[in-house]
Amino acid sequence: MNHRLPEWALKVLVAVTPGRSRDYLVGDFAERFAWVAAESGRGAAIRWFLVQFVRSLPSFFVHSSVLGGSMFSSYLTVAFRSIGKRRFYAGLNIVGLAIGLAIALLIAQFVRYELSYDTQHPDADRLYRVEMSSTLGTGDPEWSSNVYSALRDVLTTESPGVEKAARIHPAYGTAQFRITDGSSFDEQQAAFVDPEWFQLVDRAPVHGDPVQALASPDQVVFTRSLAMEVFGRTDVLGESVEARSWLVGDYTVGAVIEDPLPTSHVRVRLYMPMERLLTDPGSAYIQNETTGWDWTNFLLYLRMAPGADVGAAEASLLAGAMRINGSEFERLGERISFAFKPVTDIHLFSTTSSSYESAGAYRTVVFVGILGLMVLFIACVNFVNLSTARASERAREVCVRKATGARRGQIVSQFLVEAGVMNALALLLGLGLAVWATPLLNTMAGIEVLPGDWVRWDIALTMLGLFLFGTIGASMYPAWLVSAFQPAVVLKGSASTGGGSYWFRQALVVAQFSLSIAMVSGVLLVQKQISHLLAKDPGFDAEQVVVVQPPAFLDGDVNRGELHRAFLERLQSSARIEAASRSTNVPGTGWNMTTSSRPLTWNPEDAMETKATYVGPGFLSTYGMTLIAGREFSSDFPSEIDEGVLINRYTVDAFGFETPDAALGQVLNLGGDDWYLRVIGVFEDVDWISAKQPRQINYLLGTTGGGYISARFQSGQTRDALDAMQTIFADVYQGNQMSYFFNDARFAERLEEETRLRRMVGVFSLFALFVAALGLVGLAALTAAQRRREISIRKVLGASGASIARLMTSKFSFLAVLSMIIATPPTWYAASRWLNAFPDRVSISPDLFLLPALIVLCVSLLASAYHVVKVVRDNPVNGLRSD
Amino acid sequence: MTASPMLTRTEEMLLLTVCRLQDDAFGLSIRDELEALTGRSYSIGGVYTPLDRLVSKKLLRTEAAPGDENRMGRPRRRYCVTQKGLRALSEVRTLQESMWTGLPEHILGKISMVRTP
Repeated sequence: MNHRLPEWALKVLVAVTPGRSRDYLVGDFAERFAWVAAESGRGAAIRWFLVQFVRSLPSFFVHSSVLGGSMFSSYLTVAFRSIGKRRFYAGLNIVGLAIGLAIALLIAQFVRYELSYDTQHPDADRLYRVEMSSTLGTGDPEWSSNVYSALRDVLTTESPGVEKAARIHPAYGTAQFRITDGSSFDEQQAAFVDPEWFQLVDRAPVHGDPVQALASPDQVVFTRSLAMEVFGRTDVLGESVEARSWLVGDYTVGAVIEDPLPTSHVRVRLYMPMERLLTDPGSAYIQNETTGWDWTNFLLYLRMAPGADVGAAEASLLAGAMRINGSEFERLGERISFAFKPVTDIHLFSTTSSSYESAGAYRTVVFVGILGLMVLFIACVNFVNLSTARASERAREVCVRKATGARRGQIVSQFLVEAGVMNALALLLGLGLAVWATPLLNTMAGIEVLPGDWVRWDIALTMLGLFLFGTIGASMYPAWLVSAFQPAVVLKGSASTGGGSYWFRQALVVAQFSLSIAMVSGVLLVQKQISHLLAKDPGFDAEQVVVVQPPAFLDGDVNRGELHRAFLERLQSSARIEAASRSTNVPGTGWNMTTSSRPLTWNPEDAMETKATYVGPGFLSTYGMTLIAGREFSSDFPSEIDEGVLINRYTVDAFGFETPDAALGQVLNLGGDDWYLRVIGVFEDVDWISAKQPRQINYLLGTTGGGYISARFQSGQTRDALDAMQTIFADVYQGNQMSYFFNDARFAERLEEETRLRRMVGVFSLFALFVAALGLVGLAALTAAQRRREISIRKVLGASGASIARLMTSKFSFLAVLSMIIATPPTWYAASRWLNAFPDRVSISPDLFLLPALIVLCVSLLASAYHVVKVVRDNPVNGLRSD
Repeated sequence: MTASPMLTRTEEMLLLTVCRLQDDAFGLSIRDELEALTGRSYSIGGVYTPLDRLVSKKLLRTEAAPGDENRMGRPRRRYCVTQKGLRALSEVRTLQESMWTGLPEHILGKISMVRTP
């Protein structure tokens, strides 16, 4: 019988047991193994061995650390000495890593912030928003978060598992208010809400009870910041507030609540009672509307009961809606369906448009997150690269240690501790940089990270992870490499140290180059696409257009319509103003109506989805839109204003008219009822809301009213024209201040998410490139030092300076080309994925990859230039004498 | 009084076990003896941790003994109690006895009542 410990077990034991006790431990294991094997067989003995081995593991560790306890402090001492001795490399290493870590940390904060949207509400995982898709005629289904007000009651009475539901109706545009002392204020973030809203979301009361306040039709709720702005204090219960524009009436402040966190997608600051909007005879809702089934300006939020079936609730909502209003949907040729969108997904994944969110941010988060990992990787590669290159420099030191009895494990520990010290320094520096740069990140990304957000367990965990990953990942290879040196060979001086690491280092440089090229490509692509969108002719020229909203409050018994008309006429006659016009909406802000339309000759079920807005005479010339057939509205033809319509070129094609001229005089039906309009003009397609939108059927209907007054300035006279406008405004509107905005600014806001991505990608890539360049500087210095002898000999034998420089730099060109080839396919793929979201996109051209490769090459040549020049100008005698 | 700190219970047990085993006080046999006496089971490697701590306190010393075929020729490590270790044991014992003597009879009775079953 063979009762010997198996060979593999012996090997494992020898490898793991601490050196001083190894013989005794191995002997103990062998002896007891033989005994167990004799007693109960070899299988049992092997099981026994495994159990005992695992149980003994901690003691092996404790054993070695007990012995190594005194070693650690000496490792530390040596680490600091060795860092101090090679300040230049250590500095490069630490600074490079610190910048990389700082960027990784900032990006981690950004990602955390973006992911934390709306998670602060109690039971946030059970909060949903109702989204409705409606398909008009033959069009595609269009999802929207704007729904009918009557759906709330269907939800609460018919849908199982719905705990609470609340509607919000934003006061679109700027709401204007006046308080008792006669001063007025504007609030962009005002809305009518159901009192239940405060039971759905996290809004702590400061004074009063918001739920009770909004249950009454004449109380409003302020947030703390708004109360401070308007009244200068927060205990303002009972103060009276007069509202204009959306709902004329008097209210009192019923409660003050804390402001919503910046990570809430709904950030209303002034809450008005929904009840009042729905019942007050003076409200815009009542004046336009009689049922709860055609006005879709409501957002509907709800909380499900724990474990309730969302699908069933959605189905019952649809069933209820169809039972109550099905015949009406049928008559309009509209097919609808509902989906509950988790509130926590809205910020990241929203595809619908409403007043409360921009398009989903998740693509930005993903791209920036990937960028963060790349920067981190580049920084780590730097670290490994420099450490490895330096390691071969330290061969002698290591071998002397070995010759005097250092074990391999001790050498590895020494390197680990050194890397740990460098990492810790870099991490501290990086954290400092990151905290210092937080305000910059906030501005750049449009977020609000507070200093306190750095003191969080998830950030601490990230830091710990970075430390462990950085230390172990960056020091394992060099440590392994160096500890394998054969002392006898190295000390004799004949070995080429680090020869094996040459290819490894080249591979790392290629990895670094590839990532840099990919990043620069990304920057160029985003830059190109966004400037394409911005530069693209939107079909109108908004650069010189200022938009004014007339004041809501005027003292005395004045005819407001008269005043608006007077204001417009005086603008039109002003010498500094080229053209002016009124409208119910302006480009960049939105459409007034989404409905369906068709030529008179078509069947009603073929009607197509249509967006429409009311504009006044002279609108096309004010906005510089191109008329390709017919004429625009004019006060000379008043009947056309009521019965005429302007259509875009797309409509001409969609409705199958031969030419734009052929479309003139055609009669179109709008909305399915008996609303017929005659085409009086065709205008060139415009990007009314944003360059991101695909083309669609657009109507401009006639009006002489409208809450927006747009004026086009004579070019180059912006300042004077604005002054003139303000004078006229104050004159007409009894000294009121004019509130206005430049239309092109509003239009650019639509590309906010993209410009945010552009800023971040640009800045972070720049730093990544810098970090990579730092690494190359170090590498070039090392190469120059290591090849000094060789180059001196070449020079003595007659090599010219130019040929030496070529020798030292040709490698970089080769590596850059190789990296470009490697970087191209994945970057191409990612680029096309990103571009897919834009209906109008730039093409991916080869220069998108050639240019970055060139940039990276130039940066690397610049980084190594100093050392190359130094080597070239060096007297070869110096290089040869020193050995 | 004593200048050195008191032994812990574990240390006392280990020292006594080494004393008891005399020339047989090898790592494995100490482990077996401890398990038999106290029911506490150390792993093969684990038993050396407290023993080596006692060595570093100079309460134990080690000597190498040759190994046999069963141990694949590896030496054993024998533990012996040093003079300092013996002194520490005697201090503990003195203290114990002085603590126990003079306890009132009925308390001692109660304690043995509890102990017997």
